Amino acid sequence: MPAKTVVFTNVRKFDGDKFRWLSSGEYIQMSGRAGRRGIDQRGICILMVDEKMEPSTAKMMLKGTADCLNSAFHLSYNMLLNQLRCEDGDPEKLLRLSFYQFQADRALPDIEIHDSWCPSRRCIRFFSSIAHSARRASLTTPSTAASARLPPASRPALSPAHHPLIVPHPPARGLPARLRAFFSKQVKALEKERDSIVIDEEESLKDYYNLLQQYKSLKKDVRDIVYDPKYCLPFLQPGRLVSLLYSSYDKKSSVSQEQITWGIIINFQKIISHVEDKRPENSQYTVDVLTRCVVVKEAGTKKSVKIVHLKEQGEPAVISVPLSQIDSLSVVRIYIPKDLLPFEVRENTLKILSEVYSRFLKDGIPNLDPEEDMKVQSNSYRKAVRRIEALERLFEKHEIRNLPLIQQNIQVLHDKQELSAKIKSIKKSLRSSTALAFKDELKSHKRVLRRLGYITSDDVVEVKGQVACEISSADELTLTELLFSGIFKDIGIEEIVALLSCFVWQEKLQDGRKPREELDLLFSQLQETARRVSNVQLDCKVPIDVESTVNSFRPDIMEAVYAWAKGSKFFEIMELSSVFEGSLIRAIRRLEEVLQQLTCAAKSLGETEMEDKFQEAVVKIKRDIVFAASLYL
Amino acid sequence: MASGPLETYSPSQTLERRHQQQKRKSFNEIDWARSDGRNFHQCRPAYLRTGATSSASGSAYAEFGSTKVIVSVFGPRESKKAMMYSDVGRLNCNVSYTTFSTSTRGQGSDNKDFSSMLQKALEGAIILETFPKTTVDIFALVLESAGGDLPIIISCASLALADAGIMMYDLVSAVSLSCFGKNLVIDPTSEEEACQDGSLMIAYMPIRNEVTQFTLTGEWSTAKINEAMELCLEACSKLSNILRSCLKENVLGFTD
Amino acid sequence: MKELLISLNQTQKVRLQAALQHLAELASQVSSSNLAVTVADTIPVNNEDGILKGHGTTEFDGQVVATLCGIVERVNKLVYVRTLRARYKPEVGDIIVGRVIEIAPKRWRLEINFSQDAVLMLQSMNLPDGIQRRRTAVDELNMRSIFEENDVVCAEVRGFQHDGSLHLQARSQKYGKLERGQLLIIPAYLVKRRKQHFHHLEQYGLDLILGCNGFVWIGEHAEPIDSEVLEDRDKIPKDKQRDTPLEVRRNICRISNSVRLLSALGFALSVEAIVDTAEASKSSNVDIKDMLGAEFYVQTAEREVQRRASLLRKKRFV
Repeated sequence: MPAKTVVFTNVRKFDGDKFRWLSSGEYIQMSGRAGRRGIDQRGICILMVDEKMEPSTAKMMLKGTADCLNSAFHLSYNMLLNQLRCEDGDPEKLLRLSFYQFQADRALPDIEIHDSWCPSRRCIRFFSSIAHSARRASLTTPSTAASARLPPASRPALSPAHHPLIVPHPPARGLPARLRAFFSKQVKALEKERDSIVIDEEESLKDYYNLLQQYKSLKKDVRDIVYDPKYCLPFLQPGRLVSLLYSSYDKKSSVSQEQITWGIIINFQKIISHVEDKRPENSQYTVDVLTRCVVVKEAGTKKSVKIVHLKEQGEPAVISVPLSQIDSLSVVRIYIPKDLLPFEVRENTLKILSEVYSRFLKDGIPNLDPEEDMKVQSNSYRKAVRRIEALERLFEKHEIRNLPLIQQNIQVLHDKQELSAKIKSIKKSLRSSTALAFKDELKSHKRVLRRLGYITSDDVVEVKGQVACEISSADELTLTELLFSGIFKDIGIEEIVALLSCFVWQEKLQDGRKPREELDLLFSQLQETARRVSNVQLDCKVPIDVESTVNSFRPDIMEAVYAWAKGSKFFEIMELSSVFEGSLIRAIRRLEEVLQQLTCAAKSLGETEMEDKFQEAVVKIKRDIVFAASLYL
Repeated sequence: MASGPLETYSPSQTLERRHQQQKRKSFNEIDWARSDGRNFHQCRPAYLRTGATSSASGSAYAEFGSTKVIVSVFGPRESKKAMMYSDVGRLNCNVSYTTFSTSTRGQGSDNKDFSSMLQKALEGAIILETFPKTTVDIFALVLESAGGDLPIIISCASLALADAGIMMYDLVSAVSLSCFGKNLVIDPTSEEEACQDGSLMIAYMPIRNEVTQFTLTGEWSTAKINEAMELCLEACSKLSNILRSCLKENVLGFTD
Repeated sequence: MKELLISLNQTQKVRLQAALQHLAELASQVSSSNLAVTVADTIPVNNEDGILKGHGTTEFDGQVVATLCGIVERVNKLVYVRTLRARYKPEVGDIIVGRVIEIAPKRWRLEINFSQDAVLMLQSMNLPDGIQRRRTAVDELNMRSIFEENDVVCAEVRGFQHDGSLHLQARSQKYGKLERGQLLIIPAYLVKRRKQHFHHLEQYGLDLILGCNGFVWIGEHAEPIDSEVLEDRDKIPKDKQRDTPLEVRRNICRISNSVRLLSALGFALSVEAIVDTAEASKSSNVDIKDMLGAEFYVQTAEREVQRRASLLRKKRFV
């Protein structure tokens, strides 16, 4: 229906799982109907926002792209059997030409290469332009680490002088030979470079390096535990001194380093990020800290505030830092004035901070002890602390420690390791570019089918397979096994319908009623069959969780469907189960589809009795409001 | 115009009639031997083979004494008559005699209704719902007719149908019986048939215990009918076993 | 198909008998213990409940009774009877060779070895120019230019109609009209369902199509046509088109004779068997016309005995 204005009364919604912001795709869809074609010059969209929203969230919602279309390709047994049935049905070809494969190929990690191996300028332009358009269309899967590493600002324009080069998305059939040759050349060159770096006493150095890495990671673990909001929130009082991590850009050696400076906590607040987690303790917090900063005016009207060391040039400013940037909390608290807006007040407070700093310069400002003061009681913390102590002792004992050029050598070793990592990732992407997305799954699925007797060992479809080919609306393996176990022979039509309803009902009802005796018996038989089939699948290395598969068959609507087949009215069966009407109607319609497919299957078997039964069942449930074509009569 | 003696105009039939009367006299005696040495309640030995006609879907050849019959079954196949949509298939029977089958050359006279009788006998045994909209053609050819034609045709036809793979409820076997005064003679030859007092033919499905056709000619008393029926049913069961064993040989002797 | 009328002399008869006996013994060694039933035999089901009665069975007096003569097969709780010299039982996805007997509005009727004629709809057939579009009335009038009566066509079963007759489709390049070759009719049960029914015999330059309905096509190899090449083909008038070379024709005859031979002996047809027989005839310098003679007949039977015996021995040692 055309409309001139669209009003959003709320920008958050409940999507059945959590209460979240509108996604950009949804916003685009809903706001797109504003403005009547040919009548209105423009359409108006009004959003009523009644809670604090981060500007980044708003930007994502309003300027974001539509939900990207990700292939949900799923290799099913029914599809595989139907492919095998035809002579020129080639499951592998189908997989290779599928949209999923196309997307997987496009999402190969971006590989950076050194500039001495840049291809000709024309190639570069070609590659970058593709990369650009791909980025804009955002068809990549949740990005790999490589692409997340570089912020977009550092991606170059077209000149080959800049070194990082984005290697593009190869076509769907794997990398063309030219590119593959190019990559392998690159790998070789990198290997050569790596081998040319020689360090003295490399072995022990590597050892020390590993220890250093361990130490760093342990410290990080400890930090994470201690600065979990659970523990540190009570200590984020205004006036407490806090040491911050910040990165400083050293102009001389053109390397950015992590440094520590001190500041005063003013306040902290919880931020509601764009994607919210279920548990409130994990939500992010930011802390407002007064410290020395440098305000840089960048292009346009933007300002960026960077932290610098207390002793350096800059002005006092309050800056919001996330919890992760805090290095340690000190015991010291100082009084801060209420109003921090005037410049002099801030300057004074900072002066007091520098005083404290210089007073404690000898030993360093005392920090809050995690165990005693902050009452961090977790076991993992204690373990980590103990390991840190052990590592420190090891460090002292290490012989290389006192070598003069130790720091430089460590750095060189670090570079070497990075080169190796790069080589590995390129090799991996080379390999994965030619691999089919679902190849292993295809093999294991075929194994399952052979094991269960649906196809012969040279892939000719058997009787069971013919039956499974007919069934596409329900779990074909379990249903075929059930059919062949003769369970449908002796039970009445209403029971058949009730049993089949377990296949079409996939929602979890919290307090579903247990159906009556006979139906429960049938349901347990169903579960047994499902378990058997899932075990076979597990044996054949299909990644499947037996219990969850068995539990995906729910008996919640068995009673309701039984009553419907017996002929009760719709409002009567609604009382029997507390589900949405729409869900129940959808389930019954799907049930009718399954019954039609089972009729065809029984016909191909030659079982006329069962075929008649299924037909009768269709007649019994296909009536009244459930199958009404339209509710507007 | 002198009327000659009546003898000159008398047709030769009197000769035959005299023969018949002689025969009948002999039959009316209490115990007379049958020409081929069987006793009254003994059937002729049966020789049955399937696969006589290679171009047919199924075929069978039967020899009961001197009577030789070959039956071919074609189908289920389309035909113009069956183009009308129907839920059940059609059965089309045709019985024909070769010109050399009887002692005098030419078609026999009492077999024009054999075709429809054959159809009636077999209809009850075939599951017609399995081949809707198509027909099954049965062609029976009597190579030598020496008594008991129709029952032999029926038994041979059911063998041919089984050979053709048409679904049936049971094999139909048929036996006929003649009555000479008080004597009941089973499986009569053509001479015995010619001077019988009455005849009874039963087409029977032994396992299902159902009779598909029952033909009675002549004068019968209830007691005699009962006795005759018992005899016939027993004979039919034995014949059916022979049919079955012939089919089994086929199944077991099949090389790939 | 008419049986081969082979007159064997005494020694040949003896040899043939011996060979057939061997085959029977071998068969009995490998055969499974499936029960052979005739019509109205009871199938022993041991009073299991929930038995599914498949083709060829019915219920009588509380027992499962066969309505066909054959062997009882079981799959879980499904019991059915499989006839030996079975009529062709079509399934979706089968490759079929058939002959056009009638052109009806918007469809062709094909004769296949089945109880009813199969139907090939105009929509299920690629148009000669390869374009995908709706079939118009003009297309209907031009149906004759695609297939005429008595043309041999290769197609795939798409499905069944409600009355049991088949629906075919011939949309791929390898289906369609078959030219320059021989059509053989053999009993349908000799063609077992395999993965591949189209075979390209390179060494002879022939196409061999084993239709599941018992129609076998042996013809000169035809390349699957691309739509671009199609235009060139139309430009060449028919009489200037290359005739089939003599060598290819000889090969066609040789292969078709080996098919006839194998079907007369009652052996199941597979590409290997056919090619083996043809090779054997070539290597023992048997003339093509002598292939259907008595001597080669008996030799083939003996060769089959040897092959099966060696296969059995291999199985035992594995």
